[in-house]
Amino acid sequence: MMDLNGTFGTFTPRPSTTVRDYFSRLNRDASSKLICEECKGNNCAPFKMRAELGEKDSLSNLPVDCLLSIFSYLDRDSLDVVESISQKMNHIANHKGFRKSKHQYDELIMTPNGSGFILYLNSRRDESHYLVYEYMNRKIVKTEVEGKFDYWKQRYSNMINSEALYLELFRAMHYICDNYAFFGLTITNIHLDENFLRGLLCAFDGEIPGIAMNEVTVDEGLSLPAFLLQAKTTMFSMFEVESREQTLFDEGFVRQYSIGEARTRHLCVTPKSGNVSILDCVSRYVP
Amino acid sequence: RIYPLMRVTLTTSDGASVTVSRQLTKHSGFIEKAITDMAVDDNAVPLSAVAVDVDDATLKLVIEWLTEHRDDALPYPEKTDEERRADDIPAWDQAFVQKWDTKEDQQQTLYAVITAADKLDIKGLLDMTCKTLANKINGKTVEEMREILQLECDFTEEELAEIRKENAWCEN
Repeated sequence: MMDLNGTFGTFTPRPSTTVRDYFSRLNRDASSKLICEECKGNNCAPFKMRAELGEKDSLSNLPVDCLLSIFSYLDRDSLDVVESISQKMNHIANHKGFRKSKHQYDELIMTPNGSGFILYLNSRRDESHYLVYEYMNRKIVKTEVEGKFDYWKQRYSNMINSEALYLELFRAMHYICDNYAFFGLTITNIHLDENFLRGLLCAFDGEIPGIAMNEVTVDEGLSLPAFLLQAKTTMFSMFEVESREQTLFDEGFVRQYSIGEARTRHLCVTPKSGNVSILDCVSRYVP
Repeated sequence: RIYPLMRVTLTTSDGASVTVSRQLTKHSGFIEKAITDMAVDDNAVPLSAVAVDVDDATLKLVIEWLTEHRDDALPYPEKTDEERRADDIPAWDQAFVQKWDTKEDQQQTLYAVITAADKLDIKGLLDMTCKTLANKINGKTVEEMREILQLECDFTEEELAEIRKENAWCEN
């Protein structure tokens, strides 16, 4: 059996802070004000002025845990608005312990573009627009494109694998993961090596539930199954696989991957040619 | 153990006294803890007095809500961030809030009930009132939100520009 432990390093995921967890880290001081243990009562908002309690309104006088509870029911757009209404609201909405809701999208598509890359955020429910994050002239540019995302109309070329580019790519992906929620990641026309997969795990905090790979090439000796198990990927599809890559998935892996941890895992590998040795199309393995 | 017949006297911040069944106060973490701290024997002492930092009018609303929810399961079910949704307020609760949450009141009563639910540690009531306020401001613009919440902008122009720049990354 292949060694599936620690192949891509150890990742410390961001704490999955719930509002309740956050409340539990707050202590009340003698005057019954809630004091955050992280900032010890100091303002940790990125502003020099300290937020003062408003005397006219009652909202500002609500305890911090109540405000956080209210904010936890707001969608991401409304939370962005809340940040702009007053200093205190901004301070609370941006507190490290508060996990903001995310903009909802279905799919993050990563593809090379010349010597750079493009990240597409695509929603199948709302086809009025999609977002494009493009690395150009050493910076990441965001564009909102109106209309339906047409995957097949995109033009790709091979990306140059350089450390500097990786750094920018994964910085952008990390930002996107912080602000958007989506179901799956699609990777096209990219050569996969250990650095790339490690960067992906970091960007996604060690967990990538759904991955689709299209026309990728894989470094010799790279253990893609180990990566999928470490990334806790429950849905994996690989299309247009060259015969060499089929040997990546042996029977032991398919069994281990498909049984999963009490969750049904789906594995689908579609070869480029009709000549299939081990896996034609494996889906929902039943032991 | 909860003794349904046992009654608890609550003394409000404005000096009033209200006697309620222990069946209602079991939903308040604060009152339950106060009774426990007093180390009263539930059998021997049928009446305990607890001072609460809530005014009489607000406490009456709280008791009205507790009376309706006296049979709710305890402990209050905790939900993960993903499970939290604001559109599942029961019909009775919605009607209850609508009775006193008027435009003229400018949410003063709602804020008072939220604060009372927090002080008395009544999770169900706190959750419901927070959802109610969240529903009022969800999807609103900055100006609409300031108007609803009666808040004034205390940012400098530079700070506002900084926020806009930060949010431009992810705004749709």
